[in-house]
Amino acid sequence: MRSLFLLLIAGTVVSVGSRVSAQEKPPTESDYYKLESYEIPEGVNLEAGGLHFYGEKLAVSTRRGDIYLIENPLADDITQAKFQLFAGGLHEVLGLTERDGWLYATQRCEVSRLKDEDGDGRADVVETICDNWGITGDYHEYAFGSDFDKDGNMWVVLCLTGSFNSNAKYRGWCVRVGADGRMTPTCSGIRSPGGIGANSVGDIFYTDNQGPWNGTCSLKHLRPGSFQGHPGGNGWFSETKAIGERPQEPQSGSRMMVEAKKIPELEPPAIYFPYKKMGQSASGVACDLSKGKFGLFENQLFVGDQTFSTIMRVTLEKVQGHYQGACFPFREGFGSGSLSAEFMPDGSLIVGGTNRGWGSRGSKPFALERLRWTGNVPFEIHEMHAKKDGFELTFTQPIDPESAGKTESYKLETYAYIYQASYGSPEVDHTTPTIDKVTVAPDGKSVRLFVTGLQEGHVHELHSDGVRSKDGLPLLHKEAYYTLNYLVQE
Amino acid sequence: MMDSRLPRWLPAVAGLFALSSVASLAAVPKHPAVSGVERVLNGEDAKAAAGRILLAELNCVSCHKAEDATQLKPKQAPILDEVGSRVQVEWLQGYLTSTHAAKAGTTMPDLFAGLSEADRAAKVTALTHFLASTGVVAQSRADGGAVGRGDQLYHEIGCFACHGSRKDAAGNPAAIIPLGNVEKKYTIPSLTAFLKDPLDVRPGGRMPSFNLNDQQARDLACYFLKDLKLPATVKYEYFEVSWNDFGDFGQLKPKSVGESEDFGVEVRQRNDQFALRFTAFVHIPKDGRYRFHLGSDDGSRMSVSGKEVVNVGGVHPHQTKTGEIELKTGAHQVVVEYFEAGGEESLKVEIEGPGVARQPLAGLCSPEKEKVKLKDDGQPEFVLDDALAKDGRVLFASIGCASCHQMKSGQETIQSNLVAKSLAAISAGQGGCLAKVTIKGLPDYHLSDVQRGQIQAALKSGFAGERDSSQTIHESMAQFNCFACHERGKIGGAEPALNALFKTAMPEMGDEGRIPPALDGVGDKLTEAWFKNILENGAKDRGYMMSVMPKFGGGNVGHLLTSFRKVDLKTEAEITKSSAPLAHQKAAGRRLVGEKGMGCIKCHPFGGSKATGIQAMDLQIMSKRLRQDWWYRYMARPGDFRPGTRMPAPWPFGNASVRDVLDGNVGLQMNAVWTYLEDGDKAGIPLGLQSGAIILAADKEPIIYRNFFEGVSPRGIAVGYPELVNLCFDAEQCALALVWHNDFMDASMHWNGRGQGNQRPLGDNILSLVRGVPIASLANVETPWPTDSAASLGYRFRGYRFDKQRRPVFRYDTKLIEVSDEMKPATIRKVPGFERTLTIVQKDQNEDAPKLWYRAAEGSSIKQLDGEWFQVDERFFIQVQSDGQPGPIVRPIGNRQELVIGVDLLDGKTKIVQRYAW
Repeated sequence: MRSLFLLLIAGTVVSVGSRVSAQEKPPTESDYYKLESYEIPEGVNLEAGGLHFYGEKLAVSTRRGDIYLIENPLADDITQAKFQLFAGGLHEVLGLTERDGWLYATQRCEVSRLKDEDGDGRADVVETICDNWGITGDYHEYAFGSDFDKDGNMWVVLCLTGSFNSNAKYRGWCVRVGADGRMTPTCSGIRSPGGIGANSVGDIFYTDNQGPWNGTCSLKHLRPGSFQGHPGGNGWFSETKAIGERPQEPQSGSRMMVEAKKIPELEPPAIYFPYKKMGQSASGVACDLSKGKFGLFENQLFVGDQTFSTIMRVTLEKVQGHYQGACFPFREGFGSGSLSAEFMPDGSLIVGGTNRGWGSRGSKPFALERLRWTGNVPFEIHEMHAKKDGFELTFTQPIDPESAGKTESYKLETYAYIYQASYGSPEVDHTTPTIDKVTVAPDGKSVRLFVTGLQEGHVHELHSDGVRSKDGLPLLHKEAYYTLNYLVQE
Repeated sequence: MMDSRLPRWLPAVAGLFALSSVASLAAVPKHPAVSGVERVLNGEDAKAAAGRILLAELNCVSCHKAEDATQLKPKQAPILDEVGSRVQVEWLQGYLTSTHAAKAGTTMPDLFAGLSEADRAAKVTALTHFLASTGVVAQSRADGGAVGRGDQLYHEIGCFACHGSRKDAAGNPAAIIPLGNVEKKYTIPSLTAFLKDPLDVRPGGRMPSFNLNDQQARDLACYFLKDLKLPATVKYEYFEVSWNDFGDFGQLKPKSVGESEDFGVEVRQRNDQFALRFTAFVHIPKDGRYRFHLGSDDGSRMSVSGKEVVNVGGVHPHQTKTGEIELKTGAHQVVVEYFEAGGEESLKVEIEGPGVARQPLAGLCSPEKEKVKLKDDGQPEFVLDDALAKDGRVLFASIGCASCHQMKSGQETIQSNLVAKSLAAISAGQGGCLAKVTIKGLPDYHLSDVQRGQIQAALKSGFAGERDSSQTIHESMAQFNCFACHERGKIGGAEPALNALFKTAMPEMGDEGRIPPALDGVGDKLTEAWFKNILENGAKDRGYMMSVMPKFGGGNVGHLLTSFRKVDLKTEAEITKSSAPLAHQKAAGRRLVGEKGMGCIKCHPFGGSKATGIQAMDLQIMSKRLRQDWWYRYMARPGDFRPGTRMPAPWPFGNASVRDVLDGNVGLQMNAVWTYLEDGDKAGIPLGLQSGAIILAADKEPIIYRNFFEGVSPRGIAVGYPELVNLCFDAEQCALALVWHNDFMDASMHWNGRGQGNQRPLGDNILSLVRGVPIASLANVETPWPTDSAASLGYRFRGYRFDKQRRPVFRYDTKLIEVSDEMKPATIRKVPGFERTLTIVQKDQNEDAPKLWYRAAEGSSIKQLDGEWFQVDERFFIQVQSDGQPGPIVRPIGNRQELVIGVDLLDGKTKIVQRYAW
């Protein structure tokens, strides 16, 4: 009797549950962006540090120092991709690009170029292009290399020796490497980069990580001549006049914008990724230049987070001559710790992962994955712009004017970070500005938030939980974090 | 009259010893116990030998001088310099009153036998005051954890071998050495000090040192004194409450109040829902900063002089926190509050500070502001009487105490003025100390009839002539009770009743891993230095064996080294000598020991690297510990030396099981393994013991590994070749930095985690070559080689290109020349080596080139051999040729030498070939 009764109960629950999910389950990230894993052959350790579309193949460099060429990387059936070893025995390659048929690799110790001369699919020559920076043998001393810029330079960011010091030449600097191998010191102040890449107009950005002089992880603009905030490597101004005199030492315990007003070279981070909200280890940087093949986010930046195994989305604008903007969650669930990210010609975003030495939510030791747009447009904040009296939000889909027009649909708070020599920073100086009024644009695709109490130098954390699309959907990601270093003056 | 000064507490002494807990331990002998003699020298034929040992152990020759009895090795009596700080005064009084009543089996005679009660009491009292005048014993209490650990130690490290089991006393063998009433004699601090270094006060070494650390010594002391009862030190109030955090004690009425000897939950009346408040005064010995460690389950907090120092509030498992406070000398009130909600309950309060090692706080506390006497035996406190002590000092010299015991009084050592007959004069041996009846004024040793007979036999046989070495070994092993653990010549070894107490950490090894080794042939087996060290300092070479070889001291047993060697030593192994270079022999030995060879590493660890199976003797100490000759014979037939051993014959029936090393030649293989082991902790880790290794090896073509290497700049490029030679090129200096043989590389250091550190090559015979730029212009042949960095000398590393065999050809240039630097594996002088070719092209042929030189080698000595070969530092051989140039020149640079050769750029292009064999 008793068991029969239990069976009946269980049956009821199951049927109710399935009815609920069919009717009310909200769409998820995977409904819009599909994540697929490349099948990595047995014996291949693909801790992917660099990615580049090379000929018709995908070149992948690894932390173990191999470079693989993958055939058919864009085939609809991802299992059609075939791996071939192109080169081995390099030193932790964290940057791949090409020029004149050569594959350029940024190793810990040098920029090299490789070529297969006899057509057997393997590199026959490994040529050193530039090894003019120092290296001590400390594991922190990573080097990340960019693509070539419009002037023909590759940009390389050089991690400090550890978190605090620079024990070899140009550790903690960004250098540019020309075609002839000539190296030009370009920016100081770097701590621990996780990736480097250009935006849609070719300006170069890198990610730096929470630690000394970095309250949280961030995306920073490598404006030539700028000081990126960590003074540990500034001793090398004695070796070069390429970017002028050594900047004034920042005051530990201060705030970024207080110091930026005193130190003209100091370039504040364009985007802060609030710690443990957006991620914990910002990494690769890729710009969507696919003209719509990746969806509606053309010209926006996509940035990895190694710890959270995610890709984040960034919109930038220039205010008072400096880049700043907002970041949004975009896609989670990558198999390992997201490290490298690169767009393919078909608009796929390839993401390479590793969790060696630093843990990640994605539990695989390494992964190579492809993120593709399904053609469905998610309901997202498309862009977030600072205004003199608040913010403008544009959306990817028409909005429901009633919900989007109510101030109660939004929640805004602000905070800053301590700019200090010791490790990281909590969020400090919290404020809660008032959203006085919201107006919906006549075309139903944007809103203006009129805000009292905007805070210069603060992250403005906005939650738009109440906003609905015309179809009644909530935002796929309700959070946005705007780094308001500079107020709009108009 | 002395009698009038007798203290009130004396009559109680007799009662004290009647209650002695000695009675609870086995049957105790009525005569002096000399365990080894009773066990192995008990036959009629050994009477004289036993007697000789008794003469030594009873220290007869301290009074009865014997010029010719030098082999007697008398046991030096305990040094009494500071006996007052080691031994409790009441115990001294009792012991002197009747040594055998106080400690049955003692070798100390009764000195006052036959005296009147009053006369004895007076003398004993005077002596006691004199001995007590040398110091005062410190007291402290035992704690439960220490008692448990001490119990384990006692029954593990080997105390039981001489003193028997303390758990199953009834089962102990007859011939054990009784311990007497340890808890009446010592206190925890004084016994701890004694156990830490027994040889300090008992240099005779009959009680050897186990090389205990402070904690182990204290643990053992706590174990011996575990039943010590000390008076209350704290007051407590007990409450029944249901708290999840501290409530207000002021609102509560205690269910009971009382005094306790410790801050602890033992006074509770139920296990859940109660609270305790303790108050006490801590007596701070010295101004300073003190740390209080408070641990509890659930919450607790403590204050000192009204100030909260530690708070471990809330409901939680046992959790300890520490607080600090500055305190002045004197008494300070302590309040400890505690509550228990549910589940387990515990409370522990400790103090630590200047001169106060971390210990239970209660030991320094009293319930009231006045200090309490930590001993509570119902007796009035001993008060030192200087006049009595003075009388005692006189007695100490006159009645013979000073004949045996070293005793400093002030700066001077008290000399005995007792004169006794010489040993020769009492050779009849019927009267005096040997008389069956007690003679007034003579020491009474409580000898048994057997012992009397043995001594008489010894006296009769005399002491003339050398003892032969076999006899010396046998008798010394009896005298020092070595037989309690070790067998030799089928005699001795673990007593059957105690056998099971010998334990092992490696049960798979059977008795071999558990029972101390037999000493047959030990003088043949161990090297002189190792053996000497064991005798002088003890040993713990067998990690798997729980018992420890204690330190007997060189002065006591050092003579045995010569005896053992005289009796045991053999030199009869057939040792094959090899003419191969030493490094090649070592490489072969390393391979044989490793997993691809005979797999010695399955059972034998290598220093810090654990064996893959059981953990037998460490390979790193083999060659220091074992004689080479013995090792060869042992390797041939291990079972002949250690019957039943688990060690398999590495070369069974004289055959090699590994045939691909040294062509399976057994002699050469044995030689290779021994030569390898001779490097001790400097030898390369045997293959198969690299934990978590990621082994890189060249298969059909060379393999490259670029990373951070030991002894190379951070721009090292390592290349492994299928020919089993390897190199590391230093791209920062454009120099060939390292070459080595066999295995290439373990990448696990860099490919696990974040990869910090410099990796050492995995293979053998690693050769570090000359550093600095390879080619330089010199003003003349005496000009020193430039030491500037390659970059500042205009060098640029250009990478490498693969040849048809996929060997990298390194390329670098200067403003003047371009160089391609090619290394080919080749057999050179019959061993695997490299042939290196540098092809040099002048960039601008119209330019006038300065005179260039190539530096082929650098070392403390470069010797020219036949056929244009040079040997560098006895390490390696090189040959170098430069097109269009005469042979190389050895040039002195300071006290070192360099081998240089000219570079001829007349045609704008040239070639240098260098061969390396090592």
